[in-house]
Amino acid sequence: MTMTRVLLLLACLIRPADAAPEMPDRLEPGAFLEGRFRQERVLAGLERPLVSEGRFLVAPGLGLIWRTETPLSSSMVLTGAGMDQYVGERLAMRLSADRLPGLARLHAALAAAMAGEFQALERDFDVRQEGSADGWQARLIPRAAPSATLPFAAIVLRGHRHVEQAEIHRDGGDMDRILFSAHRIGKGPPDAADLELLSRAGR
Amino acid sequence: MSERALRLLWALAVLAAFGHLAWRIAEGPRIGTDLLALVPHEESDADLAEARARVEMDFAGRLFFMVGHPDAATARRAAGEFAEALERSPLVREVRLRASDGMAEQLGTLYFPHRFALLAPNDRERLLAGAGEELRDRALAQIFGLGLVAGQGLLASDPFLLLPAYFQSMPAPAGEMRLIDGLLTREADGRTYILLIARAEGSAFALGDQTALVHRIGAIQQSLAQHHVGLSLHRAGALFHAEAGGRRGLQDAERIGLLSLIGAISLYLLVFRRLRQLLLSLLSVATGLGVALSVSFALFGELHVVAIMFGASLIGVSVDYAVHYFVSGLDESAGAPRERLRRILPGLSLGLATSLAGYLALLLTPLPGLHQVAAISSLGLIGAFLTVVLWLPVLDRAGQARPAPALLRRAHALWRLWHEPAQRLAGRALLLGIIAAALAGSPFLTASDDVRRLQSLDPALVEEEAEIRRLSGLGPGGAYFLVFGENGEQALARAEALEARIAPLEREGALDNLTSAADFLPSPARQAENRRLVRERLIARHLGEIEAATGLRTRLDDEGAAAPLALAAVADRNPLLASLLLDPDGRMQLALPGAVRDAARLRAATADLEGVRFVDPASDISGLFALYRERALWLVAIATFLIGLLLATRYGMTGALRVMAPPVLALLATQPILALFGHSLTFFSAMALLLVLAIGMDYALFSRETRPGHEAATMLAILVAGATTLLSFGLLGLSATLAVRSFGTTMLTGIILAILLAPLAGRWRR
Repeated sequence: MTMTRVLLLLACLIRPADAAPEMPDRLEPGAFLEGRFRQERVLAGLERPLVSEGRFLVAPGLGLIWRTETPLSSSMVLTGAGMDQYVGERLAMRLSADRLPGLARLHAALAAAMAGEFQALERDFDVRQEGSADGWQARLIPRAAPSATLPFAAIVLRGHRHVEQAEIHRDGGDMDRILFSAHRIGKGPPDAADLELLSRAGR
Repeated sequence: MSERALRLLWALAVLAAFGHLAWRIAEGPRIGTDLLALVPHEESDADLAEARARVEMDFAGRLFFMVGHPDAATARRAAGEFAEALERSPLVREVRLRASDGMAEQLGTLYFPHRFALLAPNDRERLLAGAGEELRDRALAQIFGLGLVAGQGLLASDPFLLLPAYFQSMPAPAGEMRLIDGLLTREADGRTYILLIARAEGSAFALGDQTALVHRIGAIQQSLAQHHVGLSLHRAGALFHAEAGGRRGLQDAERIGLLSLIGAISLYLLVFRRLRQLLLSLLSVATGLGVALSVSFALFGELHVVAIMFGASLIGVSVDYAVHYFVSGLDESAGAPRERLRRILPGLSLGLATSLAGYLALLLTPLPGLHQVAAISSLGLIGAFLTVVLWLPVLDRAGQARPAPALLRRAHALWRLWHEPAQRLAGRALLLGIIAAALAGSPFLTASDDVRRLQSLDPALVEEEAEIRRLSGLGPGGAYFLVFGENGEQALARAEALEARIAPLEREGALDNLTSAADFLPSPARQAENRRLVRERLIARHLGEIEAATGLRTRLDDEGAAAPLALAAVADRNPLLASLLLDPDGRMQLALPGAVRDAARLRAATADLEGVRFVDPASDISGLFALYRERALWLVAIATFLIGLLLATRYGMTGALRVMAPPVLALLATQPILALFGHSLTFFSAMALLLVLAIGMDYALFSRETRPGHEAATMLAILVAGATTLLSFGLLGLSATLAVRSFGTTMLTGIILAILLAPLAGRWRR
């Protein structure tokens, strides 16, 4: 499912699986990470990739806000309780975690990743880490065949102090490449509007 | 036929009956325990009755187990061990632990060709409102958003992502439970809970098997709890209630029967101071009860535990005849056994006849359980009567017992209370007191018919059930809808109408989310309508915009247009839908609401829907109890009238009225007096009133038929008989089941009144 990928991705975003010399900044409890993204979605049979850009925010224990600014304004709010999809300000879709098998477990995996405990990830993935001169790379291969719960073939993360690039490969050649930039660690909780969005998601 | 031949014949009959009973017991007697089985469902519609029976059978066999542990892995392991152990029991038919793998993929393949005919309720609403652009924007947000489920293949053939939206609108696998690695799981209160659903074998409803299964489950739970420290185990299911109720009923019957017997024995030793009378009385009671049980088993095949319980109290009534016979021997002027029998025979026979009239009135009710009560009681009385009349005078060789002047004198006081001029004032005062108490109590008369109260469900089980319901949103029993149609498609369309009618009530909280077949596929008519909506309001207006924004080249072949998605095809692959279809064609369907908070509104809101019927078993049965409570009171009136006619042939109109006055007064005063103490009238107390009439009639007749000079002995007989009756029926007032307790307290009060008033029926000497 979508959520699964996103959460796993996030788990890696915040603290990559490898503890190579260049440790990414660790997110303190109560803090949050935000920044910009550019996503290139390559779909087999499509001449050009689907490109979107926007901002993201991830707060341990609270969830994620993925704000797409172009080509259309929409946002997705993902928490342990579920997922909300907005188009502009209008709620277009709300899914409770009850409807998404495995979401709670993956949310827990995310929390574990934040705390530096990678066993949670290693249960579902074979994690291979490599350090390099200009940073690190981690390749996550699902232990089970791609399924509705874990619908991808591999995830490759690269980064330095933060995750800077993620590639999500699916069977059949489809692939999402996401570039992260303008990272900023915020001390203390996100602002009230974001907190409100996070608290409402899925309920 | 000579008396001797009759005696022999009766001996043979008793022997045969006991032989048959012994064989039944050796075979394992079939004893029913479901209180609801006492009350039949009145359904005029055979289809409906069949559907209800099937649903209730299905509900009754479901067992729910919740295994919880702070550590998820331990909870899962314990649940697996539990399931394995359960499966080894021959009394459990199936254990559903794992949801089938690959179901989602299979359903995807099945639904895909029909994607333009499948609209999530919300999407359909948007299109009907002409807001197709909202669906376009949602699709674009997903296509460009984080994590896309669909590959290009799906996107090209379902660019608005209608199929994923439809899947997400389908019912969750089970209430609050989520499917994690195939297990129904809920994380709450810092614990991981796994839900197991099992189904008991049909034979698990006989008390013996039931007890075996409950013990087995108890043993499994105990060993699990030992292996996994901190494990919590909850269970729920109609079977547990039935077993607890049946066990309690049998314990009651044993305890009350035993106390009753001990009471009767003590009473006998006190009155006769000999063992012979006691043994012979026991013989009459035992032949009566043995014959009654034997013939009733033969008649009904299976006896209900409540009928057996009333049978246990029969000991108290059937002993009356022997008591009357032996007390007649305490008299100074008592003659030879046969002469004594002749003297009391009119009283005994009339007593039996009126009792039978009372018990047989039970046969007029359409209640199968009460037929059993009537059969056991009448047969037991006839048996005891025959033993007393045919055997006792012959067996009573030791001659008469020593008169007991002190006891007789005391008993005589009851007669003198009403008949001696000097004491009439006290008698009148007592009469006025009873009438005044009854009048004072009558404004407080209330009725109580709630089956949940009457059954007095085991509170520990109720709590476990509530816990499972709280955690899982699932549980046994409860209210449901039945949906009927000429064929599956029509029933499906009616389920859609039901969903539409219920939707506002769901939003207002009258119930939690209704699950019906309409959640799994649209009816053919709606599939056609959905196709039109998608074509006209989505594809025609917005497809170009999606293609322009994405560069997608869509291929919108509507493969499913030729043949609509069929109910049977979906039910084949989705066990959740299959469980809602009561017949293979789906002409009879079940629609299950989650928690129902306002059953009356649900019933009212759906009353006019064609082919839809709201069924709330508990309130339906409570309604039946109310109906039968009224009918029981009518029965009392009819029985009174019949007894009056019977007596009028012997005593004339005025004489009959006089004889009937004491029991009828007792009858009328009992419930109002009990109302003063907060007891309400139930179906069971109404039935007890019928017996107050029959037994009170005995006492009045013994009084009326007593010969001058024998009043003291008659009063002693009434007191001894009354005491044994109170010992048995009054003890029912100690029962743990409200239904039985209600019966007992009414009997207690009514019989005391009947004893006190009985001498009023005696002939007045002027």
